[in-house]
Amino acid sequence: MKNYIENIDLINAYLDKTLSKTERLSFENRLKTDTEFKQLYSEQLTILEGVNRVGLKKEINAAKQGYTRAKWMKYVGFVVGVVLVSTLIYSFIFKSETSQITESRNSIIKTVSDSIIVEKISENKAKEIALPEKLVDSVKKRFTVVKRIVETIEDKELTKAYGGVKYMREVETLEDLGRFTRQEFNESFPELKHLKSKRDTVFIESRINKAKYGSEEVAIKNNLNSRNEDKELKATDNELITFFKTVKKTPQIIEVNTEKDFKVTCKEGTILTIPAKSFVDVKTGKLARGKINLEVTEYYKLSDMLLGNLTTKSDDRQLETGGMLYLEANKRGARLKLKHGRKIQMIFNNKGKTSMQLFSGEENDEGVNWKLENKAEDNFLSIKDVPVVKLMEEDVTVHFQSIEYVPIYPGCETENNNDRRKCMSDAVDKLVKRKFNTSIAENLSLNGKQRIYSSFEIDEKGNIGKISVRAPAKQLGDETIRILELIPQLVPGKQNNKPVKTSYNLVFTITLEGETVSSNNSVTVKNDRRFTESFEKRVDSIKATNGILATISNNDIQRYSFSSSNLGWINCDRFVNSKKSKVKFKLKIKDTKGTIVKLVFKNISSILPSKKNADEFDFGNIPIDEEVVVIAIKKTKDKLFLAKEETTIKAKPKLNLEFKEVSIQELKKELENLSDSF
Amino acid sequence: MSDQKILELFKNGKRSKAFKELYRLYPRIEKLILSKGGKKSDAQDVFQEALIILNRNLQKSDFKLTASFSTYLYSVSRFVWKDMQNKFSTQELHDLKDNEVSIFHHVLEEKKYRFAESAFRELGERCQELLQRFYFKKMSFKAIAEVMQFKSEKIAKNQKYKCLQKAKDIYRTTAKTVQP
Repeated sequence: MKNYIENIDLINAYLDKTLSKTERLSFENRLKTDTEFKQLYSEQLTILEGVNRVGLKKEINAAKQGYTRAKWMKYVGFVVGVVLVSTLIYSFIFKSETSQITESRNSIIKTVSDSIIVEKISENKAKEIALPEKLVDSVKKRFTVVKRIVETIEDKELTKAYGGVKYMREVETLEDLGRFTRQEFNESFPELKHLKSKRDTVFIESRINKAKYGSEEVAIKNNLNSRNEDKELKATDNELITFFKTVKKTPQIIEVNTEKDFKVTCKEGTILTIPAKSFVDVKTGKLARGKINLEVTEYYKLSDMLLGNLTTKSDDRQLETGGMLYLEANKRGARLKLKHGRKIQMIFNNKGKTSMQLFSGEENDEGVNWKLENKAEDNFLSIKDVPVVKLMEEDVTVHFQSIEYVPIYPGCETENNNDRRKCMSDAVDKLVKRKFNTSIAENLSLNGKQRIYSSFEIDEKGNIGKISVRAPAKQLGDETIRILELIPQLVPGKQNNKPVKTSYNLVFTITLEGETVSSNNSVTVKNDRRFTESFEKRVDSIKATNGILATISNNDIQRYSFSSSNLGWINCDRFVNSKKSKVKFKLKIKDTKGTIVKLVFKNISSILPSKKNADEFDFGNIPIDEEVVVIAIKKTKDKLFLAKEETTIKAKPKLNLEFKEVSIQELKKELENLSDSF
Repeated sequence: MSDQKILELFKNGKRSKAFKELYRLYPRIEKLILSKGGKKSDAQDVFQEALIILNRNLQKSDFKLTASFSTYLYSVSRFVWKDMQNKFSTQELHDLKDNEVSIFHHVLEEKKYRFAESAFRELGERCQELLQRFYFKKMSFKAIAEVMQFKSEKIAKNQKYKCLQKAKDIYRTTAKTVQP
């Protein structure tokens, strides 16, 4: 049996191409001579192909569904489109008739504009609309539930152009909520039981009429994922997210003429400078000409940030904020993005805060996570391309066998990748053969052939690091590390023309006297010294040039200017580098359903989120003695609760949060009151 | 999408996307099978088989696609269907052209793997999942132990050998009974 397992492992290693050249050759030789082994090999191969077939079939089936779906979508889309257009035209004739009464205008122009006015943008987000299934009985039959949101927006610009005749635009969005059986559907949407499926699809209609009702949405419970096991929990958390969506600040809409350079001071003092012709359509990539709408939401006040579910955290590091911005641009409802290479310059309205840096945000379940974008610029007039600090992004490792551009071992300077690969593995084999001090093994009571498995990485500079060795004894492992560290500096491997880390596996055997007895106590030895050293050096050099940690002391600059090449979430922040020792801060709360807890710092502009873990909220490591306010917001069904408690940070906090019921207005007020101490 | 682009998708590991593109060619195959007296479900089986054979060949280093995907899948499908019906006469086999011989060879090869697949499908669900994760998804034992909640890597590894052995046993018996 043991022999068998070894053989299987060997075959797997051969198929995965992790054997060294000599091993590979001996393997192939054995296939030719050892018929029993050959049979084992081909049998293994057959079984594996059988396993692969199952996986492949799954993939093919998925592809098939995607294909048929796409075909079906065209049909459904056409029908939906025709129905919509006709209802729209009908409603429009009706609407403009009423406006005809209030405004006496030439009726000929009216009827002409009637037909022009209806413009429909169908944005189809539905991922799946499925085919009818033939066999299943009606109870178990699943159908697709699609939420159709029709948004009516008044286009002010064109209303003006048409001399006061209201120009309405309907934007239709389809959102796929998944596949349901009738029973699941009734449970998830009890109020919509009456809806019947047509062509195995149920449409839930939702109309948003911005012109009439502001931004109120016809309420439809949107518990997307409620079919999961933790049904209730998810639903309430979702409710909280929907809650944050409703209390979110309404953006300021600025009309921008893209033909010229543009400068504007927003409501709360942020100054934006946008170069001419900077926007392109997200979908078509075409340059947006003429007037566009820029939506700006400014977050300077604590209450705004809390109600926006925003926190100041970059991965695990705490930030102090000097203001946050959310930018979005559209032209007649079509989303725009910044053209490649174009930048918006922004001057944040924050007095007296130094060494701020620009962060861009990614929205996730817990709110927004901030990532460092650019370094602060001392002069707020300069807009230049600053190399973005990308320590994390470069962290790509590609295997030696599959890398696009194989690293060059000194003496292996040939054009061909395969030649270089072969040359390098030969060179490494040779190095090990020549330099390995076998006398080390003499005192180890090891006999016969002993195999040593090792792996290492060639980093982006061509240095060897991350050495890991599995050997029958620690001494042999150490010796292997010594040898591998002798490998000279290489020209690093490249992927997509960028230097990346290359991983390399090396397996070799040493032959000692006596008969082979495989050792049962093999050890793994690791060495990452050289690698860490060079990594730290790089961090230092970045520190020196970009001044992440060194304070840029220029107190004259009271406002910070940045340029950003992204729209979306932007934050003007600095890392909090407290010299105080840190403690793990965790809070226990009894009934955690639908609750979020945040920490607001009194002395720095910072808000930290927490991770929910059963009945505990974990804030990670926080500087000791810091004065904070714990804010907990809870939403159950239709009631809102708020608890706030001032405290100082210490290990094992004892806090008794008392929740009191509040209305949205009261909650806003409470949070605004907090702003004063911010 | 051009053949070149689909080939690139395969090369870059975006297999599912490539399959989706190739599915555009399905109507032609369906027509073929229907004209030969098959049903729609037969057509789907045949096309699936053809895609699997194509995928396997693309992974071989010595394989070069000489015709377009459409032509290739068409002729493979033709052979698969004929083979399913056991309709090859000796004369036909004798008259095969060179490139047809290689396709015929691939189809026969695939038949063997089909037995392996049905042997695999007779395993317990957990065994299937374990082998899939290790061989198809190339997950490490450590990750497998975590996902499938084995107590340790070692147990996952041992279990894998057992599952593999079982699959082989089943394969051997079925292969014996089915193959002459």
